[in-house]
Parts: sequence; structure tokens; C-alpha cells
Amino acid sequence: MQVFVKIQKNRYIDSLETLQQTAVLNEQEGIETGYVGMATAVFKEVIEEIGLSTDEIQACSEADYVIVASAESKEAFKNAVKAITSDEKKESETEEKKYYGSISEAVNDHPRANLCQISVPGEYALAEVRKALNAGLHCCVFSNNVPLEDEREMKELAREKGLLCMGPDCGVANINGSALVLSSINNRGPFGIVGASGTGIQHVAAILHEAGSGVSQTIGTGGNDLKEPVGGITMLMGIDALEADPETKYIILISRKPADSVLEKLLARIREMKKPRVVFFMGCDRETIEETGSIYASNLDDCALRALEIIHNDYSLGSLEELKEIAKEAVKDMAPEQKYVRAAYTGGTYLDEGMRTMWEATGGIYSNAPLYPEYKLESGKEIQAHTAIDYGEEEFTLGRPHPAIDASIRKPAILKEAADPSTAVIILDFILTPPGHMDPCGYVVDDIRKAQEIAAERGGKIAFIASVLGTTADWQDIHKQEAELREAGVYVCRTNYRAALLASEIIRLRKEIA
Amino acid sequence: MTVAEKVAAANEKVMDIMTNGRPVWIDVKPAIEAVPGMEKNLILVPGPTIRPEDLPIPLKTAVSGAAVHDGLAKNIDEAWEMVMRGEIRIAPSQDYNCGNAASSVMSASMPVFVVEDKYSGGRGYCVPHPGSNPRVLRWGIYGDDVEENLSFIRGDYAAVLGEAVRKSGGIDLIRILSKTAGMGDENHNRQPAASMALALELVPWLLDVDHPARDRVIKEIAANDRFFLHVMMAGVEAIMQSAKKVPYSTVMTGMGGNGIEFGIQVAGTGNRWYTTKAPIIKGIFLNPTTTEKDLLGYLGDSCVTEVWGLGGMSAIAGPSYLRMTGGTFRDAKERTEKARQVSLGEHTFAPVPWDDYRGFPVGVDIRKVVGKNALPISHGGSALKTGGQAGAGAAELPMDCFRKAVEGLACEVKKLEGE
Amino acid sequence: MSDVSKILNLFRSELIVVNVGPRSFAEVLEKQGYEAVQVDWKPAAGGDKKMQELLEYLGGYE
Repeated sequence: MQVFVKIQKNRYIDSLETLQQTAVLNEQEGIETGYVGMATAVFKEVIEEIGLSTDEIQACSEADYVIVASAESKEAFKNAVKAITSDEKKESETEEKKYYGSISEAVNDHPRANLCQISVPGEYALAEVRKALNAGLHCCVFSNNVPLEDEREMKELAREKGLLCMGPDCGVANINGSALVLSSINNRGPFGIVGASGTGIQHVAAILHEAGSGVSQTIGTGGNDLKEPVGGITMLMGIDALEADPETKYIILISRKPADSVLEKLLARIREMKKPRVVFFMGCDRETIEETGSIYASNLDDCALRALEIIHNDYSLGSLEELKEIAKEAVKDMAPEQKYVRAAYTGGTYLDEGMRTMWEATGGIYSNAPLYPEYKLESGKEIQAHTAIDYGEEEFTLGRPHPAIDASIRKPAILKEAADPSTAVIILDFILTPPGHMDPCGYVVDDIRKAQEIAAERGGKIAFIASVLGTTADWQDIHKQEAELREAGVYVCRTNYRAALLASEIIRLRKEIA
Repeated sequence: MTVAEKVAAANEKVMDIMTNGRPVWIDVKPAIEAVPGMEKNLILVPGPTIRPEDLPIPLKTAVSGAAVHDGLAKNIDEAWEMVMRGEIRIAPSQDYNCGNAASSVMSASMPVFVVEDKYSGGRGYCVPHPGSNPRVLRWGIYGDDVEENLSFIRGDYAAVLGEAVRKSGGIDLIRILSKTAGMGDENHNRQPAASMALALELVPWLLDVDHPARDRVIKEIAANDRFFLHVMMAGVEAIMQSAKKVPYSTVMTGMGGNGIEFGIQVAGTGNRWYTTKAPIIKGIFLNPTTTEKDLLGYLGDSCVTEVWGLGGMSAIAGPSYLRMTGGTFRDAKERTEKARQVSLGEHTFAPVPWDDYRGFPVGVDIRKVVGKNALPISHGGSALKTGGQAGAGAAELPMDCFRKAVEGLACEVKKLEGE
Repeated sequence: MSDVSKILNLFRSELIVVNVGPRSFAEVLEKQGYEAVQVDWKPAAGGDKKMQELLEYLGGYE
């Protein structure tokens, strides 16, 4: 095997495309390992790691596009490169679609455009948002790692112009029925949601959908909107808009606990709201919320159910007793040394919810993003007693897409956790969204089966617990995804909260047995 | 006004000059009479500033040949020694509002086309195209036969042509380009239509000239389908003379290569050059045994036509040139689209029917080139290291020039702002 | 209370999205039945910070 390189200077191909190309490259005959990408620092590190680095690549700038592979012959590499690029060519030959170099060029040709979805690296977000707002476009900003002062500036400009600035770090928004960025596809209905947690919005909206209702609009503010420097600009505008929107009959507000000064301002606004509303501010007590005339929700599941109550819909997510029965079943074949929960989440909201829910039963959970500093793991690659890892953290996603899109980020977790004989429970979450993996559950079931084989060889059995966030309208279809998991012996819970409850039950039973 | 506003206003002014420019060919005169700053012992060479010892072989030959032609030296060896001793100076043509295509050079006695921009008042100059004979100074070749042709051009040819042009009262180059819109020329490396239209305008005036060499001159012009190029180069230089006087502007106003280095000029810094290693022109070769190793880097000033929106910038107007040099119609369209991405304006005088009747993009903004990381593509003929034409094709303009230009211009603006 | 007329306008209009980022984000919107206009974003000046500063000083490039 020998390393071959093809470099195209000053050619920008997005990582989503290059990942796909990497996959195609590695399928080619005569290719041992290959990698395709822009020559960023991260890219260079990766190829260094897999032994594909060359001086030529190290000398490239991040504007350069690189195909590198260890191949059995130059011919094989050439053919593989052709396979990647011919795919591309086919596309460009059949499509007459125009791609623009800037927002202003795009708007010039499409003067009726009204929303701009921006997912550029954080340091560039402000410049692009400014251009979009100045062109009169509402914004949905997926970019993360945007400095707070940039966020404030873009939101102040948006407010001045009367335009909506969702995000930065807005993962979920449903405008006029669309699923923007990483949202699920939802039915439309009477509920308008404003939320500072993308997963939170998606979670509540998905339950409303499955209960036969739906959303008018959902507005993601980004996780930092309710922090002091930003001051809740988007949440306040979102509330104003949904209050005035005739299609929105009821309003749901979702956030972690806002900063004190922001909370005060927000509560004052909520108090004046006219429409019935459910408020879930994680960490805010019942009185604070009810005092504003709003319906209090204790968690995301509760938030959805309280909302459904308003329209007299008695949708149920299942009982605690059901979970207890499953737990009894799950612990049956476990080996004595199986003691711990190991959770591999794709995002922070579910990680947080999972850890809080399981805290009492486990007595503490270590994490790369822990609830308390003393439970901090140096890296997400470590395992210590009860462990929950957020694979959406920067250490896993820097220079790569979100794990909901790139399912390979979290995939190794399954066999890694299964290799440890003390693992009793493995918790997984799955997110369905149009740009996401088309079969995220099917993608891991082989690993799950293999993990069970490994456990069985040791005389044990792992309890795999999973929840799928999505709807039947999602292209991946939540029911199909859940069925795939069940077939692989996974305990599928309706929600992440219930998955954590089930895990807690199992750990309690394990402790009792011990 | 903020810097941004001043830059915007300056660019508007330059674009006003470029898009409203009306180059009119008014005369043919010896360089020493026509070109301000021209001197007897000065020879203008293409491309950016270069030391004589660094000139590539074809330009050394052309400079030496021109010196002999002008009577400065008895033979080319003596001429070169005088150049090395500094008795004969060389300078970039574009610093004198002149253009020298390929390996052409301009000496004091050579006749030049004088073109005036009736809109801005600028004047530009270029020596006549020597015809289709491959043995010409224009490709770095000098000998008795070349000298004979040069003498003819300086003598009878210039006399006849000059009189005809003066009699005509001036030939409007915009009219030529308008008439030939949609005839398949990109007007830098392919201009048979424009040359024909120009000849049609000239011939009646030529027939009025009473000179024994008149018919020979008419035959020369009728047989030269690249005749228009050198007239147009003078026309572009006329427009650029005015454009180069606009401080703060980020619009490219000059470019050219001397085979070793390639350089660009920007309106806001006048005649300052921003240079880098000259790129190779990729395309076809006239001789199939030629390889890229035999090629000099980009050579000549004829690409000033591109500065004004012709050639690669408006590749879609002459798609056959791409066919010839190994491209497709689609490539031609993409080339022009790419130029549009980095240009500030569009000409209105020659809409291209198969491009939705759009005009040629014009006015390359160096900020767009650097910011968008998008390089315009220039057409060009390629030269052999030893002299002679190698072939024709295209080259991406080197990013390095544009980055240096952004730095240079920002530095100049800071000075003007007193920062 | 802020002026929300433009936001309500958005809610009442046909959604037309300008997508600045991965093409797949635009493609999935089209597949959902919405019009999406793709902007192929590249870092300014190939990511060169010094050039970005100078360009900003000279008034940007769009």
C-alpha cells in the first residue's frame, strides 16, 4: 500500500459533501483507507492520525481541497478519484440550478426571498447575518461558537429592523410548516413555541404531532438568548409575534433557567400575555411561573402533556408501572459485575435531562459535560462508574457536522461501552431530521447485536435503552426507526425522560440484588 | 465620509469612465511625437517593471532589434551592451499608457496608433499589429526580413494609414464592437469580425489617399484578421489613463506579463505594479512536439483588453476560442459568470444574444477577487522560451498579485487618511 | 412591545429560504416543497485574517 494524494487548490467543498465522498472513496476497490476534505487543521490532524499525512498536504491552506488514500496502486487511486468526481459531475450536468456567491447576489435574483438560513463557522456568522438583515431577510442562524457580543449585535440589528433573528446556535425552527435546520417535520396546529433549546422545541412539537395536534410556528432563539449579555431579545420578539399571530392559539415557552435580570423582564412580559400558555423554564419553581398566569411544566414531557390538556387531549406517554415491569425483565440475565449506566447522547438537553432524572438512583454521574464540576471527565473518551457522554460537545464535533447528521460520531460508543464488563445499561438517543442520517437506528443495530454477543460471552446481558425524537412525518419515520431498535432487542421508550426513568429502575434493581 | 464610502464613490467614478469610455482612433504617429515622456533611447516593454538582465530571450531580442531599427546600435549585440550599460533604458509600456502585445516593444521611431477616449479625454498608444507572418519582433524574432517589415510599417504603412485615419475624422471603436456584437469574437484572442468591420470603415478613406504604397497597405490590412487588437489596446489604454487617476478606487486598471513576472495595476495606486511569477498559459500548441516546459510565463500587454472586459472576461461572446483551446460552450459561460462575480459593471454596447443579451462584465474589483477567492481567467497567446509563438489558451490570473494590490491600496488609503 | 408586522408578514407569505451553508440544507428544504436559494459560502479571502481585515477597511467586497 502506498499513499496517493490529489489536491485542488482553492476549491471549497463543504464537509457534508466531503464526508459523503470519503465514504464513496473507501468503498472503492484497491483503497485501504482514504479521506477527503478541506485541508483544515482538524483535517490535517485526522490524516496524521490515520497515517495518510504528507508534506504536500501539510503545506495546503484551508481553502484547498484534498483527496488522500493509501491504495494498492496509482491506478486504483485514480479510479477511486474518478468515482468521487464523476458522481459530482453527473449532478452538475443534470442540474441547471444556480448557486450564488453571496447573499446579495441571491436576493437580487430572488427578491421575494424572506428568510436566510445561515450555517457558517461562528466567527463569520455576524457578517453574514448583517448582510441578510440588511437585505430584509429574517434569519435562522445555525452557526455556533458565536461570541456573545456578536449575538447581541445581530439581534439588536434584527430588532431595529423588526426582523426575526433565530439563533445563533438555533438547531430547531419550524416556519410556515417547514422544518428548518435540524427540526423534525411536524403537522401544523394551534401551538406556537418559542424556545432556547432546540431539542426542547423539537421534543414538545413531536409529541404534539404524535398526539394529533401540531404547531403554528416554532421559533428557536438559540441557547444564549436568555443570558445577560443578550437579554432575551429573540424570545421577547417571538412572544410578541406569536401573541399577534392569528394562527397561534396557544403558546409554549421553553428554556433553561434564564439569567436573573432577564428572567424578571421576561416574566413581566409573560404576565401581560393574552393567550393561554405553558412555560417550562428548567430550574424555575412552580410559583414563579404560575404567578404570571401561565401553566407550569416540570419537564419536557410534562410541557407537551400540559399543552395537550388545554385542548382536552389526554395523550399518554405511558406509565411508570410499565417501566418497572420492563426493568424486572431487563435485569434477569445480567452478570453480577454489571452495575453502571453508560449513556451516549447526541446533544446537551437530553444529556442534562437524563443525568438529572437518574441522579438519585445512580448517586452521581460522570460526564464530559457534568451537572457538577466534581463529576467532570477529562475527555469524553473516558469511562468512570456511571457515565453519560455528550457526543455533541466540541471535542467530537469540531470541524464536523452535528451527530444528528453525521451518525458516525457516536457510533463507536456502543462497542466501547459494551467492552466494559461493568456496563449494565446503555442509553442512546436518536434524532430524526431532514438533513440527518436517513436510517440512524438501522445504522447502529449491527453494533448493538455485536455488543450483546460480547456481553453474552461474558455471561451477561446489556440493557439497551433508547428513545427516538421525531415524528411519523419525518422521512425516517419514527415508527420504522423504533421497530428496528426493538428487533435488535432494544427497550425503546417514548421519550428520553422515560428512558432515564427506566435506567434508574434497572440500577435500583441491580443495587437491591447486590 | 468613511473610507468605505470614499472607496465606493471612487469606484463609481472609475466605472463611469470604463463604461462610458468612447475610444476613438484619431491618428498614427511616431512614438516620440505621440507618447508623452517618450525618449530617443527609451524602449517600452510589456509587463511590470523588470531589470534588463532579467528579460527573457524573446524580449532581449526584441529590445535589441528595436534599438537597431531605431539606429541606436549597429547590431543586436552592440544594442544589448548599450542596454546593459544603461545607455538604452527600458520601462513598462503601461506606465506610459502604451500596450505591447506578446513580445512587442516600442521604440521612439516606431509608429503608434493614437486613440483618444472622447469621454474622459485620456489617450493611449500601441504599435501596429505586424500581420500573420510568424517571424516578427512581436514574437521575439529579429533579422533582416523582420527589419524590412518594420521599416515598411514605419514608412509607407504609417504614412498611408495615418492619412486615412485623419481623413476619417476618427474611427469610433465602440461602434465597431457594437456592430460586431454576436459575431463570435471575444476581441482579445479572436477578432476577425472586428478587424473586418474596422477595415470596412477604413478602406474608403484609404482609397482617398494618394500614395504609391496605398494598395499594398490596403492588402496588408485586409489580410490581417488581428489588426483590430492593437487598435483596441490603444483604446483601452486611453480609458485607463483617466481611470488610473482616481485615488481610493479598488478597480484593476492594468495588467501584463514579461514572461518572467506578471503584474496588475489598480486605479487607486496609478502606475504601481503588484507582481508575482508569471503564470503559464494552458491550451493548445501550434507545434505538437511543444510541451509546457518549453513555455515562457505570461508574456505581453494585450490582456489590457481584459481589464476593460474583453477576452476571457467575455469568453461567452467568443465560445469558439474555447473550443479551439480545449474548452466547451459551458466553460465559456462559466468563465464569464466568474468574471461577473468579481466585476463592478457591465458594458451595454455589445449584448451577447446567447447570453440573454447581457453585456461584457467590466471593472474587476480586487476586493472581490481576494474576498471571494475567485480568480478571473485571461485568454492569451503563449510564447516559447526561445522566441516564437507556442500556442494559445488561457490562464487564471495569479491571486498573489491581487493580495499584494489589496495591501498596497490599503496602505495608500491609510496614507491619504493620515493614519 | 416590538413592531412585529414584518414577522407576521413572514408567517403569511410563501417561505423562500436563502441558504448560506451546506447545499444539503437547501436540498432538504426543496424536498419538503419550499423554495431554497443556495449561496455557496466560502470563508472570506480563503480564511486569511490579514486580508479579511484589509478588505473590511476598504469597505468589504459585496
